[in-house]
Amino acid sequence: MHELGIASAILDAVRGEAQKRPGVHVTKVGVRIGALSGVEPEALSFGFSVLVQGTDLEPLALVIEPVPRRQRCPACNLTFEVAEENLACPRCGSGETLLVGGEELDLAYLEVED
Amino acid sequence: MDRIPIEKKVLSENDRIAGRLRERLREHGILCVNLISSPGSGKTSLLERTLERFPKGTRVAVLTGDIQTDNDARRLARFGFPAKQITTGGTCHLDALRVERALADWPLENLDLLIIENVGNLICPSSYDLGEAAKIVMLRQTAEVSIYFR
Repeated sequence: MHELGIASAILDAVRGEAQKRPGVHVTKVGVRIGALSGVEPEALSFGFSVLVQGTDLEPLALVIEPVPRRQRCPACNLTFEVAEENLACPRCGSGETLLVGGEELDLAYLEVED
Repeated sequence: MDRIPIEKKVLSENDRIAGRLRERLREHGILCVNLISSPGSGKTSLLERTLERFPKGTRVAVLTGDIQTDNDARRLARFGFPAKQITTGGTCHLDALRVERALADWPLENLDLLIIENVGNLICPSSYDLGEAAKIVMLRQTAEVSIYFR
């Protein structure tokens, strides 16, 4: 249900951008989905394909770039990608690292043709 | 084939409306809180206990979200403060536009505190800014401590 709403927001954004560029056809939309965004890429793709069907935007491909969770270690200043929910710094072992990325839910780019 | 960078948040339209709403609430000096929990944690019960303790004439109102029914608004209206249901019709969260529409016919100058009870769900409501000053997350100990904090 959530992903359908997100898919609908992506389509609205595509429509908005397309209106600014009369005469071009949007063929592809790229989004970045963070591991902590609460959005399931597979469900988003499904919701997107259902919503785009039968509209003037068809055919329109959705390309999802998954973004891992990233933490920064204030002790040794290392920024690292989190694997298997292990938040400890892989370099110095500090457990007190800060969240710096992974909450993305961004419209990254459009691909268009004339 | 050209690639055009866009680089904006997918929910930027919601954020824009939430910003407008936040500004309106601020102008009226209203504190707005957005109450979130998973289903059945006791959001409505907490609000019942809260509202029954407010003195008569307290300038408080409640917006309450539900997928289908208006049970919550009916429960909360018993205390004599304005309470309105937002029925989402299947959507698992409130968004800023729904809140703005629900507030359209309420005289905001009569309020100091606006409580928004979100749809029972700990995932989706966290993505949507409603123009609130703060989110309050309620956890039901027996169910959630073991699930979320292990």
